[in-house]
Amino acid sequence: MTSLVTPLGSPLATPILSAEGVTVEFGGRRIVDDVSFNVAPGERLALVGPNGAGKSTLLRTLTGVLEPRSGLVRLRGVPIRTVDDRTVARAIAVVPELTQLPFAMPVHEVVALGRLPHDPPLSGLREEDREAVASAMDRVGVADLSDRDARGLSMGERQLVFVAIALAQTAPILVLDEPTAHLDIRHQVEVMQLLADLNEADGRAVVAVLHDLALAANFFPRVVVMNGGRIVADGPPEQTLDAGHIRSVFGVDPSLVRLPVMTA
Amino acid sequence: MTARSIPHEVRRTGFANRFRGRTTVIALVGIAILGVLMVVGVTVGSTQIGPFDTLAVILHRLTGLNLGRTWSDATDTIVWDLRLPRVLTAAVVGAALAIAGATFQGIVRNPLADPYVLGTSSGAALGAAIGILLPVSFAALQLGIVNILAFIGAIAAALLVFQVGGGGRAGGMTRLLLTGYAVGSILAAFLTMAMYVSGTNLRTIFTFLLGGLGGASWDRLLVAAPIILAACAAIAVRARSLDGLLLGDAAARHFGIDVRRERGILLVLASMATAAAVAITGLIGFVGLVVPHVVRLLVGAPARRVLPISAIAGAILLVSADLVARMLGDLPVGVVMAMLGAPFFLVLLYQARSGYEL
Amino acid sequence: MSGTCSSRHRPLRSLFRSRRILDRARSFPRWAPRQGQVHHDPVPGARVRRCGLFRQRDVEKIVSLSPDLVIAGGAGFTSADAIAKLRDVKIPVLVVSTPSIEGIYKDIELVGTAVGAADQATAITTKMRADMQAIATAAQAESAKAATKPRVFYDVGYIDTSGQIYGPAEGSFLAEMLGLLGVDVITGDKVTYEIPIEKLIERDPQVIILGVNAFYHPTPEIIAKRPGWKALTAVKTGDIRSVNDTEITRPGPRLAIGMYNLAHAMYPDLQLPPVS
Repeated sequence: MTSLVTPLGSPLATPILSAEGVTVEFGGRRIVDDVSFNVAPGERLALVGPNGAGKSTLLRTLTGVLEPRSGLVRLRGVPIRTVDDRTVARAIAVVPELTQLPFAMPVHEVVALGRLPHDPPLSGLREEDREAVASAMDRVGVADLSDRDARGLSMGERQLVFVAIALAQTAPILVLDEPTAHLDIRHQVEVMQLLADLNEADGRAVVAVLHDLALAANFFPRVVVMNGGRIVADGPPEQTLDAGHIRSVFGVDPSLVRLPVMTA
Repeated sequence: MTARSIPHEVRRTGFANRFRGRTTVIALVGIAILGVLMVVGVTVGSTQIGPFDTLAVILHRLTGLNLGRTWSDATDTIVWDLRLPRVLTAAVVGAALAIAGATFQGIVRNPLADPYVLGTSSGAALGAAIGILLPVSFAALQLGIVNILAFIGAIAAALLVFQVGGGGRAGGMTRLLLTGYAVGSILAAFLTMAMYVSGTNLRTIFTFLLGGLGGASWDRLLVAAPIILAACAAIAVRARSLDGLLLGDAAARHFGIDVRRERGILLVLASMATAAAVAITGLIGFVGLVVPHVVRLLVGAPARRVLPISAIAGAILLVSADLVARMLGDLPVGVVMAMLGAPFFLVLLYQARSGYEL
Repeated sequence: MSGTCSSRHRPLRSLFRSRRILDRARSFPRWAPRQGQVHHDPVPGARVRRCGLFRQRDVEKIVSLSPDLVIAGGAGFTSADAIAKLRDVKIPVLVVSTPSIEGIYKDIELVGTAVGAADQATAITTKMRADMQAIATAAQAESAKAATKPRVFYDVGYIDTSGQIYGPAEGSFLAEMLGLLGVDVITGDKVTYEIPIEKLIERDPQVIILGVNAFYHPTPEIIAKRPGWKALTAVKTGDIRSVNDTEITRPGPRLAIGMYNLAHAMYPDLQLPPVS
């Protein structure tokens, strides 16, 4: 699969997604407070923090769903609010929440929903659409579930299928909000490995909100730590998830949380 | 990376073409069945008229051609002024209710939704009751003041529910459904009051509630059909938005769909189709709820297939039900439909219990 | 019809539960003026008190007026519950129900006996029989002049929204009256008194008699526009005749007047014996 974005490290690579002084308020409270950071094309980062730190809100602002009170979010340098929804959807693929479908649908049709931003004609999916769906299911490893009713899948299978949906969107940025929330350890690792693969092999940018610090440390070269609406640390996990941060941000004894050292 | 792969080629032909080709076949078969049923519908009635005479009348009226056959004035009137508009009305209303039902089910993401979830049935009935009880001239009645008020009542109820129920606001579907229920109940209470004081007009109001095609005429059809056809076409064009809503509002947003706008538009269009249908035939249930499910069992859930096939299936169902109702001595069409359709639906459900496949 | 009543000498208070029954009461001059009536048929000299809506009876109100006798319309016009309740509180209820003209005569005589005016009742029915017979004879003589009996449809009612047509029920006194006029009567269903439009077209009335009242008074133009009606001979020739349905459709002592009006509508040039 051809790389979707300019190679990392190129001096002319503008951040594919960036936030500049973004502040988001709800009912008078500042959920996100003056946050600035960039996502380079093909970068993989995890966003962690305690409950209520503003992670999901920041994510929704980055994907253009929420309007910040102040500050700017840019998609490829262009303010995201000036970009129409469909174009945004073709650039940013957000893995959907694990909702239940109201009707029975085979998995391949569910994954095909990811093609909606590409305006498949009313007569049906085009060749390119079917290709995208097939290869998305392949990459994720759910091809053999293709004809099964999506409603009958296990949690792990469903999460993978939902990642496939986002993949079928063939967007250069993949965003996930707590994708491992309901999974057992095996499936958690599977999803993490998949994300790493998508990032390294395809050059996709991956931004994932995680609650599991071990997963973040193990699978992400960049971990951004948020607390109280602000970014308190941003960098490789050895630095950002060190004992000091764990104590101050998460309020637990760091010795209780034994994080593995990330393998090179 | 887990290795669960099957060669690309095999997989692609496996799922890609299966539903697609099947849908076209089903559509064509459906249209053929509908055509036959409509001809039978025009031929059958309490007066014996042969199929050739029937077709001759229609041909003559449409093209002026007279193929050497003669028929009485009565036959001409019965076929052209009574049976043909009746059968066409059945087809149009059946299609409208089926499409509206499928649309509402998609919007509220609830398989139990039907065209009347926004209180349109109670609104229409109350509008009709008011029209029946108003001291209007008989000329106004003939012009369809009852039908017009039924339409207005239905639309007004839908708009009220939409407004009070939170509009297209994200995540508000439960609230919308409950508001529909509440408003529907209030309107039904007013309707009951109207029936209570209706005196000799009770029969008329009750007939409207039962729903039926006895009042079908060219006048009514030619006013309602354009509304229905326009609304259904506009919905069909938005099939993509309907599909986008399947995984919830957030996902729809991320697919690039303006949830609030699309949902609002779809609700208005579906309400209009429902209102126009109910205005000319009264309250006919069952079609809007069950037909989309049967169709999904046949062609899957994507709206671009469900909507057109539902239209055909809804038309078939109502034309057949009306036909049977007439043959059985003019029973209420809603009763016949439930007796025809419900067992069939149960059988389908039983067979499909392991999944969506038949 | 059930129950017997002894006659009383002081004025009776009787409550009528439908307008039809009221007609009979009118003819008994001994009536006390308190009467409860439900519908729009102003009878000169009667004081009217509402006791309920069409088909619904306010039992309490009736009881509060302390009637000596309640005369109730049968054939579903009064609910069995209401009748039972009144009988429970020891108010005698006389139920009258009239499928035929002969039955109407018998009912009048029964009411007369019930209120202690049997002789008057008999006088009324005797006169009625004579009047009806006279009109029937004259009408049939006229009808015999034509080669075939004209097909006549008496339009009782029509519902625009459903296309339902109501005519004289088969076996009803209305059908009987029309039959006595020497015409070919087109009837509706015995129970629902509906006739389907296709059947009406098949029967093809040459004359439509429109029973007009406060609630139902379409014009011939409106009738002509009803879907399918233009195939009827009567509509094509415009032979739609209106007649006031008050005395025609009520089974009471004014039936002879109704018969007169009906005969006059049917044979306008015929000299009919007068009826008071």
